[in-house]
Amino acid sequence: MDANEVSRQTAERLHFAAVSCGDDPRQPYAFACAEAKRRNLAVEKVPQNDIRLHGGRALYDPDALLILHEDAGDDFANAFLVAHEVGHAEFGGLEEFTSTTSADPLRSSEAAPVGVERVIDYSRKERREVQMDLFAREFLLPRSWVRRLHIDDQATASEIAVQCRAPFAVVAQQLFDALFLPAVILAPPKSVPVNPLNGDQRKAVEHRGQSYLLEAGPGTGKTQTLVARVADLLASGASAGGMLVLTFSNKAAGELSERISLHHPEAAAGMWIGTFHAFGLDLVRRFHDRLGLPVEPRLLDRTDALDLLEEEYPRLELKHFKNLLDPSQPLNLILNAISRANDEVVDAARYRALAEAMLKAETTPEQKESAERCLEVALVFETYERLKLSKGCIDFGDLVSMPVRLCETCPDVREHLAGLYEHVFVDEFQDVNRSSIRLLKAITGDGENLWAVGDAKQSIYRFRGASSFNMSRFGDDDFPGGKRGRLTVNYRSVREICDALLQFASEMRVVNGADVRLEAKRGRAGSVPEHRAVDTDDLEIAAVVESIEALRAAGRSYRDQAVLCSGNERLGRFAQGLERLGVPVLYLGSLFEREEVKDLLCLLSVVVDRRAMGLVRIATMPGYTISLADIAGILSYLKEHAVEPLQWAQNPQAVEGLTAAGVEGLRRVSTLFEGFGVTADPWTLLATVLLDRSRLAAGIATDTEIRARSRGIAIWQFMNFLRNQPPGRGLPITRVLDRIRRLILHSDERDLRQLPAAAQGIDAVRLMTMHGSKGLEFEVVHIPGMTAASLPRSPKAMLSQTIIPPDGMIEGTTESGASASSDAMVEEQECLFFVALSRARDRLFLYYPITNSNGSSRPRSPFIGRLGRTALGSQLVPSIEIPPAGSEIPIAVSVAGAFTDHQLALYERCPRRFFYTHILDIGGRRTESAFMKLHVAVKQVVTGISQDSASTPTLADLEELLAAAWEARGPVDHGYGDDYLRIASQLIRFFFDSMSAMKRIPVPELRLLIDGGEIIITPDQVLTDAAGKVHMRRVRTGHKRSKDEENLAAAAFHIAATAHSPGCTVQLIYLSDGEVTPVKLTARVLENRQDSISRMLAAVKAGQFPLKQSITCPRCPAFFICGSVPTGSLVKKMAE
Amino acid sequence: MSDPKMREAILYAFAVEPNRDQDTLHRYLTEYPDFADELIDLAFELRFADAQSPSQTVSIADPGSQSAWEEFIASAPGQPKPAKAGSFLSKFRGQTFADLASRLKVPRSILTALRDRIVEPLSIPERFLCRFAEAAESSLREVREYLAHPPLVIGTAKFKSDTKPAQQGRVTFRHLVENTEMSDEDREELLKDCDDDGRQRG
Repeated sequence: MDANEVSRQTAERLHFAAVSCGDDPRQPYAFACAEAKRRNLAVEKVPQNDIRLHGGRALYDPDALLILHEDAGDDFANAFLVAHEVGHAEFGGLEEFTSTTSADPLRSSEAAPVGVERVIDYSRKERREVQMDLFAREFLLPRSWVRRLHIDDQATASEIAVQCRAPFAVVAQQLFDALFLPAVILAPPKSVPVNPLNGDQRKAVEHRGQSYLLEAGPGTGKTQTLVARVADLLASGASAGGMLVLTFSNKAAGELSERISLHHPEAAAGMWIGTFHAFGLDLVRRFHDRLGLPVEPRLLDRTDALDLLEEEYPRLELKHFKNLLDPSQPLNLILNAISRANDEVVDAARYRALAEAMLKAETTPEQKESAERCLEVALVFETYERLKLSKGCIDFGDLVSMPVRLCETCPDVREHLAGLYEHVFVDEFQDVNRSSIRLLKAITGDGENLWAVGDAKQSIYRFRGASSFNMSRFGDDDFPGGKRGRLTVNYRSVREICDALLQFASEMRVVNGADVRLEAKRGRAGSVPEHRAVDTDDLEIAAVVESIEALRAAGRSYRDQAVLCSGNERLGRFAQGLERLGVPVLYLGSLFEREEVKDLLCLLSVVVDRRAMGLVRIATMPGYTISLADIAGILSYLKEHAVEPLQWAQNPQAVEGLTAAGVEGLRRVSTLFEGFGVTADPWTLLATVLLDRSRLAAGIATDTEIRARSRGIAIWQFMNFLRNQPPGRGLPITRVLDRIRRLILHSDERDLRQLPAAAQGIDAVRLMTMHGSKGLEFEVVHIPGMTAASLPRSPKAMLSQTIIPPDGMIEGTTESGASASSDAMVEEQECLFFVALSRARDRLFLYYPITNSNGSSRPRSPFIGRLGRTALGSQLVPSIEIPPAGSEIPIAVSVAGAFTDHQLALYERCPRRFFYTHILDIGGRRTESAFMKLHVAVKQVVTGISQDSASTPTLADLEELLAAAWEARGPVDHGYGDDYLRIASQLIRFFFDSMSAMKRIPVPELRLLIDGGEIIITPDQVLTDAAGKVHMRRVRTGHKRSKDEENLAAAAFHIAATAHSPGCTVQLIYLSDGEVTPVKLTARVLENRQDSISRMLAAVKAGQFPLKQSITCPRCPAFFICGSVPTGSLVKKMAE
Repeated sequence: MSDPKMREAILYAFAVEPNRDQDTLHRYLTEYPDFADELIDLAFELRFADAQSPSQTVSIADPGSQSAWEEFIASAPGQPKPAKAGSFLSKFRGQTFADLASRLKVPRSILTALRDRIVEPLSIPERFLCRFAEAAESSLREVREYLAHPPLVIGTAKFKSDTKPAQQGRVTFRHLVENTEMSDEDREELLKDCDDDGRQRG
């Protein structure tokens, strides 16, 4: 990053120097050539593919003082090539001949870290090219200049493009950088080492020969030691090319590379520094043919993998992992399990063998089920491997396990690699999993010259297969004869914090009684760590804010304070709370769920959505407001009349029943989309809207609030994401919207939460998860949420979200897969807390709320007690109050009429969704999967039968109905259409069987009068059995959700049904489960439910539609619009 | 890299080339003129062996070949460009190169094309060669000899280690001049001794 920033700032300086010489940047080619001329370089243009270009597009030939470039077709493109080579001349000096193949004027200063981009790291040469692209763009169009043109001169991006003879996209990209990325002030290069090496460090640096493990606690200078060892080896004649440095993240690799290059730039370029995965990818590419793979095997990300497997799902016929509504859910879990198996280098065959052994040994029904589940995973595993092989693809898990197998089976490969790498370094050894250990064994043989550094107490990646087991085996089972060293001086934290660390560490399970002594170099500071009890969650936020402000008043800036949470959910709450209380925070959170990004998603969605539900949100954007009543009018008009998307934009007046202000508002909105249609490219559309059609970007850029900076950064990150979309079929906008939903559902967008490096200079409180804080340090650390339920989390709760591996899969464990996983989780929670504590340099505060929202008491985390007397406790009563969240503010609606039980159920699940679905009546079409189509067809058959109770259909009749419904609504075009039809027939068959020996009678409409309103319930079926007993049924084609039979709708059904036919049974049928669930509620429960329904009706009338967030939110049709609502009131008539 | 080790690496690298045609051989000869004799011998031997067993394919996956290839690639950029280093043009670098171009009244890229030997030697007009030799303070013979060597492999081809160096062709002098931006007079001056197909007259 710093190198990019240096070249960018140099380019900017050169631009303005050139302007002051009288050069005109509005003539880009002449401008660039003049710069070359000043350097005594000739610029010559030749046709594309001219032999003198040696296969490139441009070159810089220092021997000939020449920049040679192809004729790229226009003035700007040519200028860009020249400027790119001028950059090489500026930074490569007079020595290095460079040839450029991939100049890209749209190059982003930072990669969008989604999918495969996470692993692929640039090579040094590629990094250089990126740097020069940024140099060239900046030289031709410096950020400060385009910013001035857009902000001060009010020029649109298109106008600037015309003025500067530059393509719109380049100007827009540069404007985004200029408007949204904070200016970076370059710090002078860090002078390393800060402290001279101490004895222990020196010993580690100078070790030679056998493998070596350096146990380095927090703040003990492990990076410094590693860098010093590299220097020491270089000084003693080792070649940089023979050094391999393996790290845990690209970020760590980048930092190490930078540290090394400060004193040994040549060496840094020559060594292999990167993550295990990146190294694995390199090996896979080198030995692709030995692995039976194409030259460039395609790397699948999670979403790609799910796509592959979903296709096969109907043929797999899983029982324990059956989900006929959304197979991606169980498949995602299974893919986690497969990835975990890869961590242990367990392949599909071995997985199956382990599972079969489990089945053989089972003695209880639970064990039998566990074994069967593992067998199903094995089946999917085998299928997945077959699919990948046939398509020449690999996934992340393969990146390490494939090279391991190759090395272990081919001695020649192993010897080759062992010969290449003389010195192997491993950073964060505690986070290394079994497959990485086996790779290390392969390339270092007996561990000669392997040098690893780690801290078992900071092992927080158990879910990725990391295990402290690897630390304890070092020198014994792994790398026998290896030596160990330990660093014991902490340079980071004051004595009081070190004492707390030590106190906690001494009882950690991973420590197992070992020596953990730590000497605090900095001595005492006078204030001990504190833990503070507060009453509620909200007050906890207030308490943290008060502490932050108090410390700030005492001279600690915002940027020196961090709030660390164990989970993303609490973190999000804190970010909102802090912002609402005016504390600037450095935190993006879930990118696609941010307000300003949702605005953009809505702008995209209306272009492809006939019913334009995104208008609900657009109508809240400043400058484009439309009242709630007008919006409701527009949506209901479009529902009835619109045929094509954006039809309303052609002629806003045609929408009936709007106020004059509504028509005017709609007209203003429509100007944003002029000239665009359904096939629009999402990036171009939004760039045009933000920079040409509106002053939205300018507004954010000139807003002085820190919050606006985060908004800008979020938009920048989002636009960067949009630019890099995988190709595919269908409309680009629809595709990207679908992809976003899937990325969130499968948590594959986590890396987009990372802030671009340019944001790090902002004076704002750092908010991050404990996991994310690893490797960082802050003057002040606040850790809220220290309740017993949050930290440590119970292994049971965590295990419920994963698939337990087969017994014996995890190496180094003898017990069952379940207890091995559970032990690992207990250890990990301790480590997590240890990591969080050890981030603090000067001050440390823990917080915990003691009361639940329902008034019950919450015990504090046992970890607090384990700090003993090293921390001081107190109880706080903060005086500030937090204003309510947007979705908690009541909406002015007046609702009349009765509700159905469906509506009741929806309100119970999420009041906000109820508002969008039933009050605003939105209902956009989402992309329908094959399974969704299957359910539509089955539902049609069920509804058809239910409406006509007079006939007595046979199974053949039902099959016939299904065939007709299938033709009309089913996934007939799907390659595996027959498999889906077979599943549909199974559902219909169950439906038929569920009616056997019963007589169908006409279905009554049940009405339930309740305090505050009326609920209408129409059962799907009413049957009488041989004994004359009445059964009222609700038939669903999908799966039962937990507690469906106890929810408000079920209770209302029960009350109304028994009032209508006393003594009847009430049943819920779920065809996908093949189960009939009776609704059996006690009188007391029914009474409670009745009260709840009354309260719910009152809440609807009071306009209370708060959001109930859940992991399934991305499935909600209103997902993108959810949030702010247009102002004004609305009258809504429900059913009669 | 020590000489015997390098020799072995280079010969091995050549031996495992998937395509050992004339161009490949030329490329090796250019890069490693010191081993020219051995390379040529090896090429004949291999061609003979291939003819004996036509179905045999060469596997690039052999890690030995991989390492040979890597050493070959790694040794290339750091090494002095042998053919160039010893050539009459080696003293023209930077400003002196630019001055030479202006003395010859040609854009610098024409001179780099000659330096890189990507011009068909026979297509260059005699008169120009003489001027060239004179301006470069060299003899016509030396210039001719230099230009007759295979083209230099530089640029992208050399730097991209994940692909094999691109095949380097040659163009005629006429083609080169016609594709170079310069004044009409200068161009005519250069072309007046060339015939239409680019061969020099007579």
